[in-house]
Amino acid sequence: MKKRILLVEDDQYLLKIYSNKLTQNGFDVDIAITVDEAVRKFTHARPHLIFLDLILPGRNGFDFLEDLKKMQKGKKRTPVVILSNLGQDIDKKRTQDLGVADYFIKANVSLHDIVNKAKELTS
Amino acid sequence: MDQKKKIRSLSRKKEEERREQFISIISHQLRTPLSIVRGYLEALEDEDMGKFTGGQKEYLAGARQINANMIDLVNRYLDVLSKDSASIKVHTEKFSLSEFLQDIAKNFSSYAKATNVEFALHLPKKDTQITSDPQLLRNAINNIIQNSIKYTIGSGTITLTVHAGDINVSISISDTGIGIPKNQHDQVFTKFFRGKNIIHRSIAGSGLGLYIAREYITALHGKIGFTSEEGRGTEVTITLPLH
Repeated sequence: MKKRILLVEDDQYLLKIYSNKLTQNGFDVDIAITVDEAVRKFTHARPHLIFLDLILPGRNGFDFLEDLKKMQKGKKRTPVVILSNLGQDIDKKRTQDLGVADYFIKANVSLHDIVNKAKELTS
Repeated sequence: MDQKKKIRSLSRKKEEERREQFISIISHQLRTPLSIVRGYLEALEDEDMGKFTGGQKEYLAGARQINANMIDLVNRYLDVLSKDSASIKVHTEKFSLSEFLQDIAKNFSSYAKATNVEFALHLPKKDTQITSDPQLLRNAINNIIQNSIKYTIGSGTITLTVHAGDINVSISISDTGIGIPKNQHDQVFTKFFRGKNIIHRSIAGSGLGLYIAREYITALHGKIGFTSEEGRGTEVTITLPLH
């Protein structure tokens, strides 16, 4: 069975690049452009992994992490990997406190790194 | 706390928040287009969109390298904006210096080979354990080695040598590159410094590598210095406390 990934990203170009690469590598990729859409999709079909951008239209990635924390209280948590071009210590610390599995700065990470991380966290 | 102190503290806090917001905005705006170009080029190089000829692959690799240089430049500017040695957060741990430097040398091996530079590592027979921040130290050493490779034009040798004492350890990175003009030695660790002897050689650089290295080494309570002779090479030495 294919592993499901929820990709939360508002940039149309990156959405296409990342979803194509993950799909080619055998993942079932669902996409969300806003936090509200991500919450709906998460609730409808819980993914095995979430790649999450932080700057999104309207509510941001930090808000989604807060939502996830509430939705998964007392349950097994879906791993979240931040995929953002923010990279200050304060951003990393904030997401770490909200329980993310890893933090990637988009400009510094290759498509292969993203695929490998997806394989590692869904195996 | 009296009223004046409260106002000063609030004003510093606001200033810090403004700086963080400014860095967030430029991180996002500068890195995003570079991430998109990176993604497209990597997908093309992986031949996700079909096969390429050798010549086309060479052009793609060239474009990817230029994009990587731009990403590196943006990262360095962001580093300078976000940190000075007084505000750098240091996370120390105890680690094997030999293993750490072997890993750095391994990471540089293919880059050095591609630029016809030999990389030699001279470590003491007995391993040295050091308590320091491996990430900051790695960034500082990487900056120095990148400069050494960049300015060892044509071919040459880069040697990384370690001398361990009871209290301190010194790590020297020497190259057989173009060296730094004597009348510019006092500017080497300043922001945006570039040697006069490279201006006409079209070597890309930000002039921030050694500045950042010094900020990191200072944050680690270490010292950094250098000797250089134009046309013969440069040796940068870092001295760090072992504990």
